[in-house]
Amino acid sequence: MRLPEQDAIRAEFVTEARDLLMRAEECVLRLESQFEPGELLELFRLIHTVKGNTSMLGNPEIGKLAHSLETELDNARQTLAPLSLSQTELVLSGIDRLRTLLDSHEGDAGKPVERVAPAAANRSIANQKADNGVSKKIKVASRHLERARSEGKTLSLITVNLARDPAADLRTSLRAFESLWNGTTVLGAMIREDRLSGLDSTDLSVPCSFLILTPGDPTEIAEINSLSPDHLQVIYSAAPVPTNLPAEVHSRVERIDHPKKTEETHLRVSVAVIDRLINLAGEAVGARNEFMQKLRKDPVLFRAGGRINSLITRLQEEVMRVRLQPLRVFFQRLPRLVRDTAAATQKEVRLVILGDSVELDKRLLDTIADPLVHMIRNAIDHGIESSAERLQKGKPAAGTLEVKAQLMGGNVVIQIEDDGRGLNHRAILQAAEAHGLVDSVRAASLSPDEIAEFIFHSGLSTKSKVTETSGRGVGMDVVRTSFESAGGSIVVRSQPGAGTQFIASLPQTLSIITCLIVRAGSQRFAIPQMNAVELVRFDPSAVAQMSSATVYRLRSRLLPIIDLKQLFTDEPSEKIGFLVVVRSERGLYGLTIEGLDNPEEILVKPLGRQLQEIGLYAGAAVLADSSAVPILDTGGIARSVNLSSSGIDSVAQSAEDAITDAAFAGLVFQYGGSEFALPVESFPRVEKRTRYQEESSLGKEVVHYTSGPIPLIRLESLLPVPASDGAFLVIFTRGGRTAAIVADEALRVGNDLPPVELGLDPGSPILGRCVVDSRTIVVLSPEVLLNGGAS
Amino acid sequence: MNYFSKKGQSHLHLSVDDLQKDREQLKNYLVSIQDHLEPVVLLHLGDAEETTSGLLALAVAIARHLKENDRTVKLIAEQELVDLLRPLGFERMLELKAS
Repeated sequence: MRLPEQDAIRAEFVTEARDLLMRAEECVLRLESQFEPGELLELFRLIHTVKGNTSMLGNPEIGKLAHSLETELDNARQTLAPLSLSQTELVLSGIDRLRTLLDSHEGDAGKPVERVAPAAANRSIANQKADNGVSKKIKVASRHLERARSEGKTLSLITVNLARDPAADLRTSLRAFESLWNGTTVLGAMIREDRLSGLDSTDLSVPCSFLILTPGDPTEIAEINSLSPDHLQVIYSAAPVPTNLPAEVHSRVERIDHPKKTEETHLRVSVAVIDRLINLAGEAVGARNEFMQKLRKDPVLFRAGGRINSLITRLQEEVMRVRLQPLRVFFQRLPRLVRDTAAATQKEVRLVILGDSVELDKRLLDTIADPLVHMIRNAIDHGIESSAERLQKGKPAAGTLEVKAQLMGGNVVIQIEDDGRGLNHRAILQAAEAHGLVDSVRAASLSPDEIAEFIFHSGLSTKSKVTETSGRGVGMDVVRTSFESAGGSIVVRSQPGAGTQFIASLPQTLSIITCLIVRAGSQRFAIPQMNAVELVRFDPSAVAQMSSATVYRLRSRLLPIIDLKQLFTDEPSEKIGFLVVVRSERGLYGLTIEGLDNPEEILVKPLGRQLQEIGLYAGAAVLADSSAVPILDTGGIARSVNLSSSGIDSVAQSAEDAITDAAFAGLVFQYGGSEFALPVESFPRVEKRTRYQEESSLGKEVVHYTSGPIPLIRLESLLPVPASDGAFLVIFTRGGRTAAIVADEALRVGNDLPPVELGLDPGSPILGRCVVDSRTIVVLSPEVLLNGGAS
Repeated sequence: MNYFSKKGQSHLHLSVDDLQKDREQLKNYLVSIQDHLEPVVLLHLGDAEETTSGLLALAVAIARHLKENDRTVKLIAEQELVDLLRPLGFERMLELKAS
């Protein structure tokens, strides 16, 4: 019989062995690119440690294999000669085999564990300089010294680091310092400018000194809430302390001077425990919501509940952080993956990894890991050309594959970019036409980006012909579905001959989200706030029937609408109160609802398999009043009613047609001395340019807008207008796509401009012109602009 | 990091993205705009929802750099942060102002 403790120890070993093997694999890959004797010794040491620990498992096969590997490496260690290709392959395959054996062992040993680094484990006390009586080194105002003497207290200067965890929320970090006040009188505080590192340093610390008055030993303050003094100087002590430091402090100083194990700063915690903690934090948020809702009627109690409210918010924030893992955990696998795929396809590939410290929820990381691997393999297999072909094209022999992660707002953006041959748009379009995804009329007006979107279509992904000709496609529908199930999205851009870029965006964590709570019939539903674009009061006169679709006229734009009650009960809503405009990968559409409750932060609970298969729900949640609601999957709903993006576009097109026969409504802005306008149907809005980062990608400029990267349009590249470094961006959206135009100044939003005189060339970025007070305003065509200036 | 000048003051906006950047790159950027900076520089401490401890550390390092180049630096943060920073000695190093 095996005891649970033994299982825990085995699980611990398996996790540690995996870490060691990962590091060993990195060593092998580094040795392959450049031989370093020290690296070889490190590799030997790692495998030796794996072997040494195998006795814990009682698995002779693992022990034997580790021993063989160690023997192989020992021979190389004796001669300090570079590993041959066959030796490298042997060691790598040995590492792989060890992993497989560990995986099979893990089933017995329990779930995988991950590392966490609680602040409490990171305590340190350095440079202790406690002194008897008054220190002569520090000058303090005599009144402070006098006060310490008269009150019989200890006066000390304690220095702590305000930015101990650079990634922690600043408010949370600062509030931790409030604990200093407990039982302590703070006489003053100051930033230690003398200890600040310069801008050259990567050190992110802000040392801050506090002059404090304590009744007893000031070192106790270090124990409060994980605050660790980096420096403590006793200026005056009423009760003389021993000449030497207290034993406890001594031992800690010794530990700092002679660090023995990194394990002292980390705890290994089971994923299951973390999941339970997150669940409990979510339950606490739900209970808090319910509690605060009831307290709302009593202002006094409501104020008193404010503290609990903020504590639970902080608790939730901190607990959610525990499950965040640096992408490094996944990126570590890439050098090996790229090496093996490049070797199998006989190509040379240079891998560039950026942003591996960006953190992502472990559950989301698990969801997207395989799709990312698939995309990287695809990029090497189909995107990057052979060395000979590259040299013929004037490119470097080795292709470059860049994998880059960035944190933008609450989203993690992952880009995978290669400098290979790019997508074959013509072949993709032909395949799309052959599969009836697009007719020839519409095909002629599609932009390259729109054509590239077809590679995510499941109908195309299974056709080998398309894969061979386009170089992309197999499983890309699964890739997109995976990102969407993680609450994210993915787009592709490609330039023939220059390369392909995939940009994926997903929330950093998904467990607790803010939702709109809506009513339809007797049922309530939650709509994730990130999917809701707008909420409008429903006007029955704005509803129209176009072809087979019911549409709603919203500020001259026609939106397809779906009756939420009818969707679930087949009975139409009796009294529609609101229209929620939601986004899906097929574009915007409206959901009609009967009523609306307060928005809530809710913990997403997974659904059972049968409910998942319906495809309309993203999860379920328990609300403040203890009732359960399903969370709507806006993309799934669009798919279930077969809402096609082309359908949405054609409906929207009719809205644009309307602008020519009536007073024109639009946003007027100035650029390069001329006035331009965009029709309101394109939702133009003005943003300060400084708010968003701009960069050049594949020869195109993009702006990192809230929804992700969008094209940046400079009018001088399309029209005869002088270039200007405008301070504003006019953002506009059309057919589900968004772009930004550089502008000098926003002049006004008018709905009473004279009718537009249409231009003759439908492919021109100029839709038409109108004249106001003898000034000509050029009305731009959003569609043509989004197509890069030519339709 | 972005900046613009208005009414005798320069506004320097920091965001969490700056934490990912190379320090040398940030320093070069500061050097490149140095001559354009007004005597008073308002250092905006990121968006309210994104302000991390590391961003404060970066702001302090930048403030120190700017002060060495004869600029008066004011740290601009939302009121809640200002209230939390004030008792921690920031008043002595930076002038705080609610946005």
